[in-house]
Amino acid sequence: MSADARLARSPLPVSLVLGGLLSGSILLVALIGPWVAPYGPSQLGTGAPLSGISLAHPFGVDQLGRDVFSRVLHGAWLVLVLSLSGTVLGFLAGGILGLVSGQRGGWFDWLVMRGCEVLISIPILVTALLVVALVDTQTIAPLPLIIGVIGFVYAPRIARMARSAAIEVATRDYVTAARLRGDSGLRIALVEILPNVSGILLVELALRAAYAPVLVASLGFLGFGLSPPTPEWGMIIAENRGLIFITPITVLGPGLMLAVLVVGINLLTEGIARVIGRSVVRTT
Amino acid sequence: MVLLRFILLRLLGGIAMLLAVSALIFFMTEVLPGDVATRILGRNPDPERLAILRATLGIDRPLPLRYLEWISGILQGDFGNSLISGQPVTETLGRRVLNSVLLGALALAIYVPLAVLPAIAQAVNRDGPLDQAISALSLAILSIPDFLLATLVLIGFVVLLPVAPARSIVEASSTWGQALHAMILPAATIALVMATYAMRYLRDSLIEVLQTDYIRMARLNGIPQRVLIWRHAMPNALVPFLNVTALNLTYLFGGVVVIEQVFSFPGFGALMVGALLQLDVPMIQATVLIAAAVYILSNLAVDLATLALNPRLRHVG
Amino acid sequence: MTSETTSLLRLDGLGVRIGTQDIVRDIALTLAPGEVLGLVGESGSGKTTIALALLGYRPDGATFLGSVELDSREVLSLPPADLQALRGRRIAYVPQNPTTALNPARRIGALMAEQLAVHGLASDADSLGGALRDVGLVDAPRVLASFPHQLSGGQQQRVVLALATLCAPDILVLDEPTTGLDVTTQAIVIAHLRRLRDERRIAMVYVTHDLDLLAGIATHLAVLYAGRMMESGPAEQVFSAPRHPYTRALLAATPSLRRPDHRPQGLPGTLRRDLVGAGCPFAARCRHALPLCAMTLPATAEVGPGHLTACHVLPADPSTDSDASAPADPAVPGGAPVLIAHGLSVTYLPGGMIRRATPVLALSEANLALHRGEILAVVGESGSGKSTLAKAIAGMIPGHAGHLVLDGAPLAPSITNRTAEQRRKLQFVFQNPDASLNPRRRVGHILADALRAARPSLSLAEKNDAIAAALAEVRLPESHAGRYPDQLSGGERQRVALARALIANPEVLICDEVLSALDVSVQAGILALLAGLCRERNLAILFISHDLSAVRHLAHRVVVLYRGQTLAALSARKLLDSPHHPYVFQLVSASLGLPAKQAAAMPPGPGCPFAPVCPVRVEPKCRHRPPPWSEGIERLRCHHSPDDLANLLTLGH
Repeated sequence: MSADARLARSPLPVSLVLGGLLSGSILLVALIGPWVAPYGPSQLGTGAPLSGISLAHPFGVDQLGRDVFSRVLHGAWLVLVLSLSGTVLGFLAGGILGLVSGQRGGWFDWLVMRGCEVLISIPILVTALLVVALVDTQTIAPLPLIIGVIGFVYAPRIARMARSAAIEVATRDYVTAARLRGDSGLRIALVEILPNVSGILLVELALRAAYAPVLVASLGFLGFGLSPPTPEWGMIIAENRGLIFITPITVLGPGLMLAVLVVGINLLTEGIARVIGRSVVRTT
Repeated sequence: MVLLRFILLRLLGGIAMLLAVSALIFFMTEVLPGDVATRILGRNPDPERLAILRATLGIDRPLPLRYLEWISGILQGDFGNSLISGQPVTETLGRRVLNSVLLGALALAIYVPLAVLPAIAQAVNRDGPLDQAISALSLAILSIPDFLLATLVLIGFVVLLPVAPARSIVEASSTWGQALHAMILPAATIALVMATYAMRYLRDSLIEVLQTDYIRMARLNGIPQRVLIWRHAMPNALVPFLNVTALNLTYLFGGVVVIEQVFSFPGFGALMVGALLQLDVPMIQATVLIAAAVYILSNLAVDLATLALNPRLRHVG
Repeated sequence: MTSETTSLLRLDGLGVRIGTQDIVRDIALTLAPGEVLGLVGESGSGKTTIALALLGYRPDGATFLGSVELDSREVLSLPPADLQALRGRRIAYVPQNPTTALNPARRIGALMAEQLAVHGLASDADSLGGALRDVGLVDAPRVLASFPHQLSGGQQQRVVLALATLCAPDILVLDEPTTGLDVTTQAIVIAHLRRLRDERRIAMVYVTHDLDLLAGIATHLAVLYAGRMMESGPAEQVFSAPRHPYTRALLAATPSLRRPDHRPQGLPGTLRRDLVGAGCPFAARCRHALPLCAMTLPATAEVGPGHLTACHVLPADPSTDSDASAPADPAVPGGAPVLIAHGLSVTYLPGGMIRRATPVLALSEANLALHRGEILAVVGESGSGKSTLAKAIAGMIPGHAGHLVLDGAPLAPSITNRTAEQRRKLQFVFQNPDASLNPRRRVGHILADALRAARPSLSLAEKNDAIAAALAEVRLPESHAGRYPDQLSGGERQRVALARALIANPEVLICDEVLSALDVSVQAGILALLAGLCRERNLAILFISHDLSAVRHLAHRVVVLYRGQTLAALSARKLLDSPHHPYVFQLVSASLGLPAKQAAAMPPGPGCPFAPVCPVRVEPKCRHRPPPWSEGIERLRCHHSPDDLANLLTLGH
């Protein structure tokens, strides 16, 4: 039976389709945004400052006379690149560490897990703020720094999850059967364990990917992101926060885009989880 | 006896974790910024002023020694002096922590019913329209970054429906009523964020419990739905709920920074952000350590509460 | 089944439909006080759905057809409040597994008081205590103050029964109430149910897949297949003169100590609702089926007083068609044993969130010798150490004491220190095939993995041949190699697990409770397969089981364990004969459904492990001195001599 036929028989969950559409539309914005934006990201005097919603300026005009809509279009790829590469970095580092740790056991496992626990005991945003604030931007450029920070806060959390999933699978009888016939540790990890934890790992990856844009924007919002006038969404929201009582759209516009992205990835997560029959467990 | 030993071990483990975290925070804050003195004085500083600043900051001595001094100071209630104001960190900290604790207590009071009641409604009407509506709503709220959610609340209740002040400032002279009025918006926002997480979690664990044999047996022997939910299902869903609440408590102390910022609430999170922006190292160390301590202690508390609530664990040995 | 005037409960044309599928269809039954109706069938037969419908319980998305009348009141259309008042008060429910049937967060006393309160009945300590004493729980104050986990499985099931009968219902609906219990506990529960039936005239609906069990309690039987009634009638009639081919097949598949010469025969195929057409649902698996059977549904005919059956072929023929040829009594094989275990002991520290300090002796000084072509059974209840013994031999418990010898060469305790050849010679089959087969790997790959480890030198073509041969040996089609485990039925999965062990070409096969996760109809097929393998391949099989009937039919010799200690070693043929160890006697009588003679429990001592509950113990000797082994081939460990035991213990006494 072909994959198409199978898909045709069981309809895709609504959440998967809707999530794909929403996050796909943001991806499209990121790809073509810079070319279709009516103005440049930092172009001044595009309209009357604080002039509110209009056809020419759907997200209004900020204090400096920049078109907020154009800034949002120009910044989309930044948000995606920062959050996705950070997530993948943390996922690879944490996933490998967790699986190896669970597989090896003994003192190595103990040490790795205690280390992870220590790192996890500082809340995600606090750790991220701490590192971004402390590291001298002369040594590391802001862009790789933020990617690195997302990886750094995610890695121990993903490691702990991957390890417990691997250990749970490792006690199943089919793994014992593989041990009894003398299979190597590597073979057991690749053939018996990995395929059975991949579902859990996938859901975890999606879940982390959904929070990453929030993290990036929160850093920008609090003033710890890239340097102005970069059009990163959290920073645009922070710039215009003083205007919420005058032209709320300058905040709500970029906020809406951010929410669409996160809702999209979250729905995608729920959909994936439903397809592979897992439940979504959110942790900090 | 076994139980006592377990609690003791768990406490010791918590203390060891706290020590390890304090060391991590200390070394991160001392090593990551490079030379603090250089950063304060800018590029190409006067070497003489640099040396004097280093001596005043005490950063000319070996790191481990300074850690020991720092930690022994903390044990005596001394977190050092702020680099910016020169005031003892403890003084500022105490006031701000108190504000945040008040805010947190109010938020928790709103959070519990806000999480529990919709979750029960969902579990009882599993996969029905109500369940799906609440699910969609909570997923949407969950997906809105909290600083944005706070801004929306601000716009909604200050601009469109002016019932609350825009700045949630609590003065020493404020009456309880004024303080409550000032805190209601940030507290409600925090409660809403926490409740969406807890609600989804509690819904799932309630559904799981409602499918167990013992619920089915009770149902088929004529126990009414109300009794089933509150006396049979809830006690068993409480432990997972406590676990997610522990995570939320951490959020309360660490993650609320943005919400405090939006409402200009003079709490602990705002203090941390200010210290980070100004590279006020002693203040950073103190605030981050407290955030970590809250995490460790709330996890410890939940472990012990789990023990107290789960008869199976309590009665072993 | 009874005249209308006395009937309590009356089902007429009962159906349960989900979407367009009929889960249950056209069920007509009556139940009178003091009657016990056994509802029998394989999994998927709809028996539980019917039982729950009696309580007005509708599965999600289902609709009811027909009627269920209790005292001439329609149950299926009762408003929720009336239904609630009915449940527990007039008709009560006892679920399958007592360990999950009691709320872990509530004390027994609170549960019982609540049960009375919601039905508007007053409760006091005396009435609760009385209800517990009724079910044989003497220490009522302690039980009332206990949480469920502080009670044993048997005590839990009795609490469940006390809870269900607390409001004096007229009808009990029992959903496999003894599955998962040890045979001795099972016998106690059945005895109690019989008392409820005879003394309090409580009517019962007893759902089970185990016909043998019903022989001891049911007054009437209803045999179900794919949601339809195949045969119903008075129990003794259905047992002695079954008319429907399905009933006969089920009886033929059920091993029973009551029929020691009956060799269980498997029922081919599995219940597949998707293959049920317009005709008789059983037609696809029926050995008597005519072309007519697949096309039209047979009418229900009365073949005796109250005895109904729906079959085109057999109702006219009252003879039974089971070829009850007694198997030749196999001689115990001689020669050098292929596997020897000597003085095997396993101690472990219980883990968990809170560590208990005292180590537990799971297995003490076990000895056994297994010959080629021999099936040696190890029996015992849960906690007897039988699985520990199997795992220690398989190399899963590195820390055990004692010696193992395989084929003349010492066998290291840990699997990692054994040679590849030793690993190949000794193969292990796990209890539950759901857990022992990697769900993400196709059957062919699972077998290839085993083959690569055991016989690495084979060429690709030889490997494919070996896989095909292994599937054929366990009677599975070659096309199954391309399937994932979840595309197979439970019985097929266990066959794959067997094939995985056989493909290594082993000398010794360890089967750890391989039947317990399977339906009775499927068990017989596996039993026949194992017996065949032992004969044809001259394979030595260590068969771990709690099921004496299966052991009696399959094994040559039996070792009986109790709390980690070996109490007897005897020929399987002699299981039903005296003299017996008191514990073996208890097991056998429980398996026959006879009431066990109980002794007041005493604290254990350093002596015989069975002494604290032994009905013939001699104080203080038994509890304080380890018993000696008797001489002879049928060896047992008891302070009584075999002759004394023969006089002390007689079956049926």
